[in-house]
Amino acid sequence: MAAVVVKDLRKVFGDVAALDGVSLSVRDGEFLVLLGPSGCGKTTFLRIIAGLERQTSGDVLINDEIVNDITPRARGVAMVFQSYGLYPHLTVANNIAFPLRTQGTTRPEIGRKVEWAAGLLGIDHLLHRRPRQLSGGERQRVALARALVRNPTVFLLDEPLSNLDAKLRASARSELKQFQQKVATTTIYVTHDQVEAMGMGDRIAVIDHGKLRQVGTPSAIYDHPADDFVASFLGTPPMNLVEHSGGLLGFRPEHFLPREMLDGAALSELLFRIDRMEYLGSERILYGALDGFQAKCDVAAKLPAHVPLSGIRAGEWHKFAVREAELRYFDRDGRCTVSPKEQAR
Amino acid sequence: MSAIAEAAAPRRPPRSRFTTFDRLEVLGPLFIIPAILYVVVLVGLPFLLALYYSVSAYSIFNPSWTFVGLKNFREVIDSEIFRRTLANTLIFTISAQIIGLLLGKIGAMLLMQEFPGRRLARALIVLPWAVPVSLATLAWVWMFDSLYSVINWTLVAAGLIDPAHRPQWLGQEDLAMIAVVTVHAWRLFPFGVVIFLAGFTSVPQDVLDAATIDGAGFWRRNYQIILPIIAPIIMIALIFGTVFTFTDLSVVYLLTKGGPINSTQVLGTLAFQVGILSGDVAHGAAICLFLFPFLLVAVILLLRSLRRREI
Amino acid sequence: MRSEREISTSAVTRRGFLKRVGATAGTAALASAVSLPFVSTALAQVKTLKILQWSHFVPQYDKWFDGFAAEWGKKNGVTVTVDHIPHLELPARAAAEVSAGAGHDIFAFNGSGGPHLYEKHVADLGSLVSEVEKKHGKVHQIGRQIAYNEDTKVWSALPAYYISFPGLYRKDLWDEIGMKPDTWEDIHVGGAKLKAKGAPIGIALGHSVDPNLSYRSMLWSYGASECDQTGKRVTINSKETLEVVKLVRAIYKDAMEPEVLSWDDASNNRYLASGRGSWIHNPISAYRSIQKATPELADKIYVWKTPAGPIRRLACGAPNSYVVWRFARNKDTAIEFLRYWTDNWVAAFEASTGYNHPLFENLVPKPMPILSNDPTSHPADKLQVLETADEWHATYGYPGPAGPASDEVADNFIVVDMMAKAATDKATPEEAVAWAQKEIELIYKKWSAA
Repeated sequence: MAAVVVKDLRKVFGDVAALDGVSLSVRDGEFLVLLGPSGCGKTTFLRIIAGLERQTSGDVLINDEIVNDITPRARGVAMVFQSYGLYPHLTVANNIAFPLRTQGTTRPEIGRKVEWAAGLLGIDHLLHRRPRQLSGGERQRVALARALVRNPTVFLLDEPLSNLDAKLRASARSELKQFQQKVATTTIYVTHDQVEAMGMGDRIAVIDHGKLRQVGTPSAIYDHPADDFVASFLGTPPMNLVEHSGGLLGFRPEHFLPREMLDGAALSELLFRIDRMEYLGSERILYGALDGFQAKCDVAAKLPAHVPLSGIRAGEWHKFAVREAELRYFDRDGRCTVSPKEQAR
Repeated sequence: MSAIAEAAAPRRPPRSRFTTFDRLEVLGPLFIIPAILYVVVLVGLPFLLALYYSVSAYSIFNPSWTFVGLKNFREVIDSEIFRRTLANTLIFTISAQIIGLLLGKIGAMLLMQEFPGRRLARALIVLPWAVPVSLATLAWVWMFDSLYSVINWTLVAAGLIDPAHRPQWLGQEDLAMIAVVTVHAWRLFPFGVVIFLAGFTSVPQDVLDAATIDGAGFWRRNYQIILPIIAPIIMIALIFGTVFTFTDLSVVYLLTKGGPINSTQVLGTLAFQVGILSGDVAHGAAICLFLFPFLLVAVILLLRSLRRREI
Repeated sequence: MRSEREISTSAVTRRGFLKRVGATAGTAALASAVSLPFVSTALAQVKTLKILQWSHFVPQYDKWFDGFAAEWGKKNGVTVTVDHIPHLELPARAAAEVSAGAGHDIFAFNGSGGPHLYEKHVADLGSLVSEVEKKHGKVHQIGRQIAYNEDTKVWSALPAYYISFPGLYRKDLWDEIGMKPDTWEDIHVGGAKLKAKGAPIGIALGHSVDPNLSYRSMLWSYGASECDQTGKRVTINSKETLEVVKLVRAIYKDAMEPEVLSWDDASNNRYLASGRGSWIHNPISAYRSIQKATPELADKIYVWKTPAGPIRRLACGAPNSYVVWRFARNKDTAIEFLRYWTDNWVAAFEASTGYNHPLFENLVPKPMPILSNDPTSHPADKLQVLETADEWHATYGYPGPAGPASDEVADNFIVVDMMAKAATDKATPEEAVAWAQKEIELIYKKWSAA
């Protein structure tokens, strides 16, 4: 059963299409990550589902019901904003209680639910503080607690970790994921951070320029990008793309290794001139050019740092290789296709 | 010794001629002196003088500095006219604030909406604030005129009132108070609009969206979210407006001269009548000083709310 | 009395500084700044004379006066400057000049109380007054009221002139009811009849100058007054006052419209000009402006003496006077100029088109120019009754002198409010009179202590 379905959603601001015909169905209890660069329309998508904005055309269904004309409060969604949108003049307890008050929940019930949500997120001791007296992580939890108390059909999270520092973000990521699994509420999570997307999403939907590029599990997205945008958006560094018989040939830097490190058959050997090297502690990244291929940017190779670099020096040509299974082909329009060889067969 | 000093001198780096003025401890006081002078000469001294006048027997007829204690205050309070004036001043100030700010809020909310000509409307709305008070009040004098009141003309034309019993805006005690309050509220209105606009735009969109999603409708959003958040700003507007209205005499003086039967007499006009027109400086100062406790409270509130905003 | 709203505008604008706490003191503090330019020019010139007076509501008069003063200056080797400011600014200006001890040499007070209030700051003009009296006849009681201090025997000002306060009435309408507005009783009875015909009479009942004059006139005509002859004992609480208050209440209800409560000094002029009013108590300025605007209406408007009461016929005139500041640099020159001005009073009278009434008996011999024969009026002797104005005029403080106390009573509109309270049933006539007695006593007590 699908908790949220959108059909051919379009949203036009002036003459710019922020969303250009997006259709997507989010399964019940699923953690779906909406991934895309900033300005791709992902926040607009979320706001339309929440009812904060009205789509130009298309339908939004929540629990199989068209909610196009239903107010935000009647949609049964909860949203956590990038800056959390906490009410600065209310205590934490009152922040959490606010959505309950608007529903006319009785006092004892409000007290009970606030306690429950605060307990679940470990913020019981903060209930009498005001938002400005809280750290970033604490604020995020309050925002989550406020979203949680209403027992919403869907959680909408708009980059909720972007205001946290890097160290906190990592732990918040896993906490959030665990929390979602515990409450098992359908969640749509918007981010431009592929690490968050890969690490948390049951599925990832990649959006660019208002269009849905690919929906799939993290591994499907990573291993089998549907087009050159998805390929180049995910991975650090992203997939190498070189021109090849009218289309593009792609391979991930971690699959592009010195010939001597790979054994077995079905290898494509490539002559690689290393221009510069980056040592990142756990790995080395080598940048350079391929003999006989045109590429828009440097081709990168990612090697585990513990592998000795025997004879590989900057400025020199070296024999590298990729397993053929790891090669991806994209046609003239950038869409993923089978290899020319298979095509010929 | 001097030889050594001379020998050492050339080695020192050349001194910039701006050195003195580059130093913060010199520049700071220098810049603040005009402000201090202003406060001392044009506010502090006259205030102290007023304090002294109020406990002296000073009048233009007999400019003596004889100390009379609180006699002037006792005599002032003895007058029914003064007691009425004090009450009027409070009614006048409070109602002008309430109406002015309420209209300001509504105006600001309208101006937040997109509509053609919004920029022009935003510019025009400041007009009552920008027009000199005397000119503006004169326009109102004509609007309230006994014979040619455009307000009455409109009401009669609309069939709402009987021309034989048209309201005498400046002649009936309650209406006269309404008239002076109206003019003051009208003058405060643009200030209210500007303050509320500033307040509204300072509320983060996320907070408003959160409230919408949390199920708050228009009224709940306005009164449980927006108003409490912008309360400190509104407080400042309120206090400024209060001081502004409380100490004003021009509107009343031009509209009614405090009449009819002192129903619109305020401290400012009464002090002017007694202290300047009649030359009884001591009692005029005493009347004036009744402004002081109220203004003091207003200023304390202002400073406190300013401090709260800083946190 | 006057229809110059623009004047009051700038007056109050300039007084914007009063918005501050301690404004009264501010006046004094500002004074030195204000007067600095005068001091410096005074030093630069060998012989100067600086005169300050109000902007007369007859502009020709100001023009004549400026030329007259300049010519006198040329003849006598004195640089004369005449400054005109709105009359509402005069009190604050006087206070400022005195606090600074600098400003003009001659200061013209408009209104009654100035000379007494400033007695300690002005030169005694006793010898000038007696000289003028010798030459031009006895000083009028208004002159004595405003300028002479019985206790100190000081003449603090030269009485200049007063603006008379007659009745202006629609002869056509009054003829219809077969009456003439000659007594206050006529005003009540005739006014009631005319109100029934849609043409009420009008005396302002709000805070403005005109009603201050009108209701005092009425009190005196009935033998009532706010104080006794000494100007020290408050006598407003009398059965005569009560009678007048009751009469005003009756006039308000029977012969006037409620709009009189909101009138300012220009409203009654407009009221008469609108063709609705059948009688107003006002200087002839109202008639003059109607002459310009609607001549056919002006022809129906006649001028008669202030209404009489059972005791006497007496109106409260608006006096003007000249003081010479004690700090003036050229007191003798100033007195010299005032003497010369008095000697040319007929010219001054003509320049004022008959508004400025003389305060010395023979200054303007009868028949008086303009009043006896006004070519613009039909009939030409319409204003002739004003030749007798000195017989039926006094000013504030009557029967005592006009002083700071009687002025403050006027400034605070206590007599007017006493009438308004009773007229609008906010108080019974008895309560209104008792209230006025208490408020006026407070003021007189205050000033007698000073």
